Amino acid sequence: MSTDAPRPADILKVEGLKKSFPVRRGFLQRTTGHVRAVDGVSLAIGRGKTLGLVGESGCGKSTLARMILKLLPSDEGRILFDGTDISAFTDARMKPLRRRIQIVFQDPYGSLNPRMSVGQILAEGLRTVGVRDRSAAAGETERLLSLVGLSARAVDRYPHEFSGGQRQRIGIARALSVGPSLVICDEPVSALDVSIQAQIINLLKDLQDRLDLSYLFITHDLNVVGYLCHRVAVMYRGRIVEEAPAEALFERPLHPYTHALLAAVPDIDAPRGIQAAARELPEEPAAPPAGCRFRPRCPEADERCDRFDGEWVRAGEDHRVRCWRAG
Amino acid sequence: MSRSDRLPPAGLEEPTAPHHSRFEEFWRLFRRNRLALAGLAVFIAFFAVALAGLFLTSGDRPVFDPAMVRLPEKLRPPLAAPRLDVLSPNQTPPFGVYLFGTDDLGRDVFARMLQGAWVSLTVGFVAVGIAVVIGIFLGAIAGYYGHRPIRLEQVLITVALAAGGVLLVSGRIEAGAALLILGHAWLFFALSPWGFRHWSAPPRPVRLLHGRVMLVDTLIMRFVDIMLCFPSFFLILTVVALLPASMYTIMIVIGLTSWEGTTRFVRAEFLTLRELDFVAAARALGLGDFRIIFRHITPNAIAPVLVSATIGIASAILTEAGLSFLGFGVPPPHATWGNILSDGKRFIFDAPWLTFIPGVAILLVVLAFNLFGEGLRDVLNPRLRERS
Repeated sequence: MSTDAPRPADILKVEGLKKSFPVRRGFLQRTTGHVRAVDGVSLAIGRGKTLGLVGESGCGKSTLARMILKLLPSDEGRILFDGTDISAFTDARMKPLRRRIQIVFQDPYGSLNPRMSVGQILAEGLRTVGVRDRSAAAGETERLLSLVGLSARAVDRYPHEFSGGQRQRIGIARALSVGPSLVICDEPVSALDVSIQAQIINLLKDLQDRLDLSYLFITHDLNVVGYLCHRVAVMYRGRIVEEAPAEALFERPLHPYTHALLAAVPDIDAPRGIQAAARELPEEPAAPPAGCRFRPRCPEADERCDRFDGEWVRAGEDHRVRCWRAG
Repeated sequence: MSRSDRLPPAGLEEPTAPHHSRFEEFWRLFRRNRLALAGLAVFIAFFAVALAGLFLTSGDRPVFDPAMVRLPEKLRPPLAAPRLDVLSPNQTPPFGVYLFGTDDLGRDVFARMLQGAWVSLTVGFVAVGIAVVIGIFLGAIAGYYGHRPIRLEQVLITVALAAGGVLLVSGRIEAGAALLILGHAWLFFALSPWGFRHWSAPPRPVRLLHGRVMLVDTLIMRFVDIMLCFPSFFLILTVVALLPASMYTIMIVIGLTSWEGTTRFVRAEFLTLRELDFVAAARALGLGDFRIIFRHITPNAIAPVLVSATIGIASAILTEAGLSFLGFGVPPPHATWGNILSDGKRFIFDAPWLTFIPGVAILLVVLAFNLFGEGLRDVLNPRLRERS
């Protein structure tokens, strides 16, 4: 990458990314079909900004995250990181870029190696950025720990000696150990108590201000999104169905699926009827229907939805949605 | 959640749980299992005896001489006092008593048992060591790289290199060298940026060469299945019958025929562990495969290996004793528990101690290793841990 080229405004730009998995059945494990986990997703994250990615479980959020990290090869589409298309990069070419994109996982138990002390876990990251000297690594480890609000005494402790929230802090420290510009947070607070959630969210926000990080914040909890994210993308069955700045989305949600998600957020003031309606969203069918994908579950569906093939409808500045009603 | 509850970092957090090392934790749980504890005690005693036996029965003037023949004193029972009138002073056993009696040549059975303990111990540990190294290596490859296909090209290169090597060794220098050069040239071509895997629109023959033959997992695990099809004791017997008899042959042959279980365990562990987030995190940090396999995954996969290794030592000792009993083991002047037993069976009615003493020793050691191994498994398997 040459230094005089203008740096793109977006740290990450994903264009038309696709991934499908074969479905195997029967004794011979023949491929009987494909599940389109991610079906043409495009999104962009600005420098120092947070993009929230919201959707129910199984909609392809984590698959998308793994493709951006190049832990999973993509079938189609481009991944532009800082202006470079990394979608076809081999492992060897990806290596120097690895340190710039990091991930924080959902499960604070499975995401830390139980046989390594906190110091060793952090040293693994430091090794890859060239900190091999023992005392330098010790100093750096201490700095990372205090950055995420842990005492330096944590260094020679093992993950099982920490609480869930503390482990999540260790996971964040590990991600920061290589000095990334983009951190993908894959449901980082879903496994935590509400009070601990607030602490971790605050920590992430604080770190964003201090280290100029960009986040792709994956979640199914809209409460968290409103507090942390600048933009929000709503994903349904491998596709983004609505994308808008956070305030606009909360003020004027347009896609019926977004409505349903918002209604699913427990709210003391909301009338009971709305919450009940949201819960009664029907089960999704196995095969996607013709026309709008959300049609079988949409409370407002009619025959026009059968002909709608899910193109974007602009619904104001910076607000787009895949529902013809918004037009 | 609002901005008002955004906490300032008010003091740094300390770890919640008290600090216990993994060993303390292990010992706390292991101590409760009395049988396993007894197994451990016998294990340690056996180790000490074998080590002592090595020093006391070797050298120019051993304290216990297992090879000293005292024909007038043959088949004396245990704890019999030596008849000093028929022995020269340097033939008298230490402590002035035949602790375990003497055999048909008047050799001190206690001295022979001491010498044999070391054989059993080394055979057990070295054979299992070989098996564990092979098992971890193949299991790790099958578990971590198992989903990768083996291509026809790779098979052909391997065949060319192997055949070239064989021809070269067997004396047909020109043909061997030609095959080796061809194989290496092809190998470098395949690894180079011009190799077939980088061709965007390959013609049919290239596609065929680049076609999948089988998966890495299939290759390794079917080989394991094939190895398990042979009744291993008879396989060992055949190999030992063909090779010159020595302690090292026995160790290596037992090791080379008992790695299959470890491979399966390690593969199974790797299949679970490689999907865990900490492995994904290690890959995202940009660590190499070698480091991920051996530093991140293997330490987590080692517990079942440890258990099967402990039990494996017991079965290796048993196999060695069986081979020696059949006369295929360590060659005769050297005593092993198996050949003491074998020699003694001719006198089972006149001198039952010649069969019972090595028999009971084998029984005790094998039992101890099994109990210890099972105790280890109970403690190291967290799902079983809940019950205790």
